[in-house]
Amino acid sequence: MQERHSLRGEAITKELLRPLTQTPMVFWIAVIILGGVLSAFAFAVGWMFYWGLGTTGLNTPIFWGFMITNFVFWIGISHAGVMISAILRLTQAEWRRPVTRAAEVMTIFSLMTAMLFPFLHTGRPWRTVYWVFPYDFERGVWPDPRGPLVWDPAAVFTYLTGSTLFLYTTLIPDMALLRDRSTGWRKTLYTILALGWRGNERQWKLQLVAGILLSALILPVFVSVHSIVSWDFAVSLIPVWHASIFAPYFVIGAVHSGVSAVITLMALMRWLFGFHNYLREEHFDAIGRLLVVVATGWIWFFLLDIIFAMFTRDPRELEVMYMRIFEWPYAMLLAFVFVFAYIIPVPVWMFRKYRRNIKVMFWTSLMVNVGMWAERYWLILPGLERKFEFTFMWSWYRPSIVELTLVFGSFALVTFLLLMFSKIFPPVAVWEEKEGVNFAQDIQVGKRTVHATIREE
Amino acid sequence: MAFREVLGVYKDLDSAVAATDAFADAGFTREDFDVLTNAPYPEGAFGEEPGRHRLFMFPLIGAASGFSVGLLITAGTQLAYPLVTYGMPLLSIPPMIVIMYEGTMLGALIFTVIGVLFESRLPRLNLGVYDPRITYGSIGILARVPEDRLDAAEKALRSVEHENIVTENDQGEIISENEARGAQA
Amino acid sequence: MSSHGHSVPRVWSLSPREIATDGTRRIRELGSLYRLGIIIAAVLAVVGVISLIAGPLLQGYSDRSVWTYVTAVFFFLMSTVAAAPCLSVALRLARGHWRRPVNRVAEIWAAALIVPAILFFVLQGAHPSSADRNSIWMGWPASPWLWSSIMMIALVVCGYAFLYISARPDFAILRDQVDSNPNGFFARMAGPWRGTLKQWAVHDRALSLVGVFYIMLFIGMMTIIASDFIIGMVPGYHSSIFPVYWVVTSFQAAIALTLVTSAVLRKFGGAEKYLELDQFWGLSKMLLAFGLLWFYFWWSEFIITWYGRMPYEVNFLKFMFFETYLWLFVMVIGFCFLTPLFGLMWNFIRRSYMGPTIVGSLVLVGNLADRIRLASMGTTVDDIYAHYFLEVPDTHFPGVFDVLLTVGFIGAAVGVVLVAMRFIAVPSIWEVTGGIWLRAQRQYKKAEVIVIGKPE
Repeated sequence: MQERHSLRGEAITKELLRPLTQTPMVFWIAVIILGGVLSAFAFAVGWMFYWGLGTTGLNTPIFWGFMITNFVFWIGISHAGVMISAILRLTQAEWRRPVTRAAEVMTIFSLMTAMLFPFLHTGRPWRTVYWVFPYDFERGVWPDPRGPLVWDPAAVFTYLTGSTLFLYTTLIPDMALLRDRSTGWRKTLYTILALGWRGNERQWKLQLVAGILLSALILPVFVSVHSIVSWDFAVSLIPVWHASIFAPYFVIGAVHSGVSAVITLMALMRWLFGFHNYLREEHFDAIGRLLVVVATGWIWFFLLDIIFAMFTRDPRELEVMYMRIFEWPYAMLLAFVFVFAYIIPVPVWMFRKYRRNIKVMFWTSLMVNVGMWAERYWLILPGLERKFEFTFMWSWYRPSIVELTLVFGSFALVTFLLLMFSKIFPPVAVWEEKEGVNFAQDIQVGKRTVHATIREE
Repeated sequence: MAFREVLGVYKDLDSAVAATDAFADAGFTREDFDVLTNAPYPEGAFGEEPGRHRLFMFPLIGAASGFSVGLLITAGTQLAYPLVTYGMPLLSIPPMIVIMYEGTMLGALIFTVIGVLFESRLPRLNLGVYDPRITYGSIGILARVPEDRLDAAEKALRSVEHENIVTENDQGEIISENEARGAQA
Repeated sequence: MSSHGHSVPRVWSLSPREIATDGTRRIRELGSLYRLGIIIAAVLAVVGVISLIAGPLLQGYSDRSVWTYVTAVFFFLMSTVAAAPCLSVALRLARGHWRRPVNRVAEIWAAALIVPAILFFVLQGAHPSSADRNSIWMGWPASPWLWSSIMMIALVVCGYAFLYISARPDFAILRDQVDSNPNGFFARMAGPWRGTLKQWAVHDRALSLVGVFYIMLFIGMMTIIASDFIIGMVPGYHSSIFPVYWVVTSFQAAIALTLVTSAVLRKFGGAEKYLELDQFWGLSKMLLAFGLLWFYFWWSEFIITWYGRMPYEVNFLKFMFFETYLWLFVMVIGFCFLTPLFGLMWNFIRRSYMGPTIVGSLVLVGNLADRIRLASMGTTVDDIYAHYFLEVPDTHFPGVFDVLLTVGFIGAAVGVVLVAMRFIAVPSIWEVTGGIWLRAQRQYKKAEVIVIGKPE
C-alpha cells in the first residue's frame, strides 16, 4: 500500500511548515475555548487544594476515583506514540512517515497530563516529596521499593524521559532546517536545538540507526509502563482487581485507545493544517486494519478477565461481578464499553470503504475513547465500593463537579499543548517525508506501475 | 599539516555525483570528502561504504549503569531501614527486579542518545564551512584536504556546474562565492 | 552481495519457469533419505499407538496420571503443529515479501492436525464432567465433551481447508507438469483451476478469510484446552492470564518449528535457493520477540501470585515453579526465554543459518518440557473438586510407555508431514513466483539497491 503525492523538495517543506507561519482563525477560536476550560481547570485545582479532598466524591473506602481513572486513561493514550512510531520503524513500514511525529508528541503530552493526576489526587502534592527522600530524616525511613506505588513513578519517569529523548533525536534535522530559514528568537531557539547539525553522511546514518535502536529499547518500556500501572491494582487483594491478566489487558486496552486517539489527531491535523497530501486515506485504512486486530485482542482479554473472575465461584468476586454487570450505573457503563469500544467501531472498520472515509474514522475513534474511559472507571471503582466483606463498610462513589472539571480540563490541556507544539515545531517530520521521496521507486508489472521503495537493512 | 575545508554546493543529485567523480579524478579519495544533504539518500549513492560506528556499545554501558543504580537504590533503601512489610523478606527480589528493569532501560535509552550525539560529533558550536542552501534541497560536497591541496580540491569542485563554493581563509573566516558576488554587484 | 552490504537473495533472479521446474522436481525426485524418514516415522507411530494402548491397560484407565503424557504430547502438538498455520496467516496479513517461501513451510504442518485430534478424542474419554467444579463451562449440559469436540472438529476442518486453498494453484501446476492424468490426484485437487484473474481474486480472499477464521478457532480452542485441562484441574489456580500465555508460547513454538523445518528443507529438501538468510533473519527476529513475550506473560502471572501471598498462592507457586517441577521450570525458562534473549540479541547470530536453527531447536525442547510440566500438574492432583490445596503435590515422573508414546506421536506427526510433501510443494511455487515481479535489483547512482513494490 503506497499511495503517493507528487510534491518534491521545497514544496514539501513549505506545506509542512505552514502551521508555523500561518494561523487560521479556527486555531484562535480553539485556543480561546481551551483557555477557558483550562482556567476552570486551574480554578478547580486551586479550590481543591484550598478546601481539601472533601470537595471531591472520595470517601472511605473509595480513595481512588475520577482522578486515578483519568490517570490510567491518559497513560493509555500515551501508548499510541510508541506503538505507531517504534513498531512501524522496526518493520520499515513506509506509511509511518507522516504519523510518527504527532504520535510521539501525543505520548509526551498525555504522559505529562497523566503524571499530574496522582499528584493532584494526593490533595497536598508538595508532600509527595516524601516519595523520593527519607520521610523521617532522623531514622532514615525510605520509601519502600517493594510497593507498586514506587514502581509506578519509576516506570512513568523512564517512559517520559525515553519518549522525550526519542522525539528530540528525530527532531534535530528539522531544527537545522528551521535554523536556516528563521530569524529572531526562533533562530536562537532552533540554533540551540539543532546542535550544529550539518546533515553529513555519518549524521544521517546514525540518525537512522538511532531510530531503530531507540525503537527497540523503548518498546519494552512501553509495555512495562501500563503493566506496572495495572499492578497498582492487581497486586492488592481487592475483589476483581487481583487478576493476573491485568498487565497485558491494560496494555492492549491502552494500545486500543491510544491508536484510536492517533486517528482522531490525524483527522484534526488534516482538517486544521490541510495536510491532505501527507495524511492520506491509505493511512487511515492501515491504522483501521491494525485496530481491528488490536480491538479483537482487547475484547478477548476483556472476556478472559470476566470469565476467570467468576471461574472461582468466590462469593465476593461474584458479588462485585454481579454489581458490575447488572447494577446501575455499572451496567450502563458496561454497555458503553462494549458498544462504543467494539460493537460499533470494529464492524465499521471491517469495510475498506469506511476505513478510507475520514469522517467515519474520526467519529469511530472518538467513540472508542469514550468507551475506553468508561472501561477504566468500570474496572477501578466497583472493587473499591465492595472492598470489605461487611456490608456496613460498603460505599458508593459519586464524582463532584471539581473532579468533572479536572477530567474535562485534562482533555483541554493535552489539546492545548498539541496546538502550541504545532506553532513551534513541525507536526510532521519534514526530513522523513523527504527521505520517503528519495527512496521512492516504481516497478513496472505488465501495464501496471507498482509503487516501490528502496530497502535498506 | 593543517587541514582546510571547501564546500561545493550543487543543485541536484546528478551534479553532486558528477562532482564526486571530478574530485576522484583529481586524485582525492573517498575519505577526503563528505556529502551534506537535507534528507538521507540510499547508502552508497555517493560511493560511500557503510560507515563504522560504536553506537551499539553505548546502550550496553547505559544498561549496566542503570541496572547498578537500580540495584543500589532498591537494596540500599531496604537495608537503610530494615522493616519487614506484608510478610515480604528484606531484599525481595521480584519487586527489586521491577525497579532494576526500569533503571536498566532508562540507562540504555539515555546512553543511546548520548552515543548518537557523540558519534555524530554533536553538539557543534560552529557550523564552519556551510551553506543554508543545503537544507533547501541542494547537495553539498565538503572536502577536507591538506592546505597545499586546497586549490586542487576547489578546482575539482568548480569543474561541475555549481550553485556556490564556500571556503575558509587563513584566518578561519568563511568566504562564500555567492555572497562575494552579491557584494560586488 | 552487492557493493554496499545488501545481500541479494538468489531466488529473485530466478525466472517463473525455473521456480516451477524446481518445485515439480522436488515432488518428483524424493531420495532415499526421504524414504528412510517415512519408514522411521511409521515405526515410531506404531510404537506410539502401542504405548497409548499398553500404558493405560497395565496401569488402569481410571488412574488420571496414566494420561499425563498423552496430554503432554497433545499439548505439544497443539502448540506446534496446530499453531504453525497461524504463523503463515499472520505473515500473509503483514504482506512482507521475505515471508513468501516461509508460508508453506509453516502451513504444511496443518497436514498433521489429525494426530493431535486423535489424541484429543482419546483424552475426552478420560476427561471428567465440568459439573460441580471450576470450569469455564459453568455446568453447561454435555460439557466439556460435546462443545470442545465441536471446536476441535471445526479447527481441524478449517486447517485442512486452509492448506488446500493455499495449495490449489500449485496442484494445477503439478497437474500440468507432473501428472497429466485427468483422473489423477493433482487433477482432482486442482479442479477447474486455470489461473484466471477472477480465480486468483477469489483465491486471495478465501485464503485470508479461512486463515483469519483458523486463527480465531485456534485461540478459542487453546483457551478451552487451557481451562479444561490445566486451570480447571488444579485447585486454587484461576489465572486469567494463563490462556494468553498458552497461546503466545504456542506461537513461539510455531516460529521455532518453522525455523527448524526450514533448516531441514535447506539441508535435505533442495530448498536452499528459497530459504535463505532473509527468511532465517526474519523468523529469528520474531523468535526473539516471542522469547521476550514468554517472559512477560510468565512474569505477569508470577508477580501477582507472589505478591498476593495467600496460602493457596504460595503453595501453587511451589507446585508450579519452585518445588515440585523446579527442574522442568528451569529448563523452560532457560530454553524459551534465556536462549532466545542471549542468543538472538546479536544480529550476526540472527543473520545466520546455524544460530536461529539451534535456538529454534532448544525452544522446541523447552516448549515440550513446559507442556510436560503443565500436563503433569493437570493430571496428578488428587481432588480436582477442592477449592485449593494446602499441601503441595509430589512430582510425577514418566514411565517407559510415557517416553515411547511421546516420541511415537511426535514421529507420527512428522511422518504425516513427510507424506504431505509428496503431494504439496514446499516452498510454494505460486507464492514465490508472485514475489519475483515485485522485487528488483537496480543501480541508484553509485549504489546497487533492492527495490520492493507493494501493489496494495
